[in-house]
Amino acid sequence: MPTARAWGTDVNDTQLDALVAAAAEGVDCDGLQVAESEAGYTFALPEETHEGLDESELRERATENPWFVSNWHYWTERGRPDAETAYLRWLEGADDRPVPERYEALADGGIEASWGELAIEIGLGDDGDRTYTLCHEDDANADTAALDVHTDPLEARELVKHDDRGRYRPLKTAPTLPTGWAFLDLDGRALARTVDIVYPATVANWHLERQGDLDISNWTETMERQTGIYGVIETWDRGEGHEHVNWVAEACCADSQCLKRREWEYDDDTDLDVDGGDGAFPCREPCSLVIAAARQWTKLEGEQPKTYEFELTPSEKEQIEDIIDAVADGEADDIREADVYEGANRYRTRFLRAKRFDEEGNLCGVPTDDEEN
Amino acid sequence: MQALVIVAHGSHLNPDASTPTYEHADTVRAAGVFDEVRTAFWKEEPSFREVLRTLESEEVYVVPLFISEGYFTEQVIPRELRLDDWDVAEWDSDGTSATHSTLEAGDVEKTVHYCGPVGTHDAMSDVIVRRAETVTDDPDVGEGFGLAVVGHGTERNENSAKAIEYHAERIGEMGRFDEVKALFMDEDPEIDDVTDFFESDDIVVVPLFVADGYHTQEDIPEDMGLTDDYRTGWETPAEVDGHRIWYAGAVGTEALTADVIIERAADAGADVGNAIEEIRRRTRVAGADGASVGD
Repeated sequence: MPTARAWGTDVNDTQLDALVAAAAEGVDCDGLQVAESEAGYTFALPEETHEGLDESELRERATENPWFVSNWHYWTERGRPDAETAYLRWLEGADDRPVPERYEALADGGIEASWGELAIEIGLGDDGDRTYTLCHEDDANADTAALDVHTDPLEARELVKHDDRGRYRPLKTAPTLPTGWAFLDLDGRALARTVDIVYPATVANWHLERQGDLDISNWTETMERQTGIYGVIETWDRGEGHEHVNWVAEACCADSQCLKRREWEYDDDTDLDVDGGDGAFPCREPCSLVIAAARQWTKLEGEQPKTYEFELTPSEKEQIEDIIDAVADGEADDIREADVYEGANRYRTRFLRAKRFDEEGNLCGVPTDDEEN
Repeated sequence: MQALVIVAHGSHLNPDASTPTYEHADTVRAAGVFDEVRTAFWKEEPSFREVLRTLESEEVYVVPLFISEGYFTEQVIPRELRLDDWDVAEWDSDGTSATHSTLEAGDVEKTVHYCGPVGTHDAMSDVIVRRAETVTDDPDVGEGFGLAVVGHGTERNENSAKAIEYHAERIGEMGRFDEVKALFMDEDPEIDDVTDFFESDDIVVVPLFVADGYHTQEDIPEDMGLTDDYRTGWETPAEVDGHRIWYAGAVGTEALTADVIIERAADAGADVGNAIEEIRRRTRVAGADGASVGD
């Protein structure tokens, strides 16, 4: 039965009973301290302490402070795994913001958090509980009536499979999360589960990193571990430096390609020279996409460079650079059909091909291999 | 707490490769006997490397959704899961008889019961038969029908052919179909000549593959002459050389595959209650109305 109100928060009997039961072992959570001794119960908050209470006085004090009591109950009495508790607390800033400030924010429009491209809004549920909303950050201010609404975490599997252009997303942490959906009214468990489907294992690895226990596997040990068709990759490392791995990381691991923060390096003694990114969650080893691409590069990079002679106008040289930039930055599809001022425009590119390719598709008629081959 | 982890290949290119894995996970989840049911992939996420750390359970049953024993089940999966004391000799397998092995993983404090692949479990024979029932929409299919169980062949892995032959032999012993043959894509007897191997007018063809993809949706239909161009599709049944070919597509997409997954875990010691009977009943498609009598 509800016994008191403060900003719409009640303490319920379950919470009160749990608090009384926990007093013997001692309670210490976000400023709330409760203890039991021969002199009776002690109930303490950051700015007040009540000692020598009997059980009914303890219940009275607790009932008068529903935020502190429900906060304690939410964080300690729900049987959550450690990583999930740490994550949910981090989302609402529980280690940094005092209980009254946090509850005021939860009650007054909610607390906003982000994880990759996800926007997470935390609101106050019944009896000081939490309720979570999850959507794409671009939809954070959208009317939920305009979004495709879900409540079952497993439905996220299909939602995140393709990007907004309908292309398959083989990398879950690519910054191509589709928009137009929202998960509403999730509890903490369902929120964590949904996040783990959208960005698998990111919470677990983030937690390990915070504990100082993230098991990073650098490039060389990861490639040495490979077998089968990927066994060839370790031959790419020839003791001639790590520039090739810089290129891999620049190509695949920049924030524009993956939201994980790359923590793996070349080897234990050699850091890569490119930025690992600013993501909230770490990347602990080269992923399967990097490995598959590295296999192809290992083969391609086994070739020796040769000198070719091409005749191009200065603008044509720049146009080829524009085309490479547009493809590498994923912008080729965004160049408008009639925007012939862009080097990577389709008409411009078709003109270049018409002018500079021979019938075999050789640039400027220059064969790839020597005639005698 | 006990968890079930279904480990599968997945794909960087094909968005549907993971679909059967997800569906079987959902079927197992609905049975309610595992506290956690998860999937992990070689080519998708969570990876084999990182799935165990996402689990709360101390007891983890890992079931490979692979067709045969070989490179993936013997090397890749145990290595990536960090089952450091893994030794393939523990399975003591003749190529199709692996059951399970109990190990510790190097990165988590959990007991991992590493099971043999789905494809070689005896119950997979029943899934092949169920697949034949589903494609013919006849719960009693058998009389007057031939059944071809199709696999890659030995080109990449000799156990792959063993698994095909094993199930063909078992189904043959059931005496249900007039004829049962093992056929292969890259060795004799070849699937290209399917009608040469059967006297029955009706032939059900079931490829022992986990998911539909290039082989089951492009190669095999064209090789058998169901169609000249897979993109235009084919009839079921399709007339080829005076026979009717009922082509079933990948056996792993059959809902009953979830039963094999649970049986693998049960064989390894998981407490699965009556989930096996329950799933066998619920996943039936052909004659489903009749099967529900008395429920």
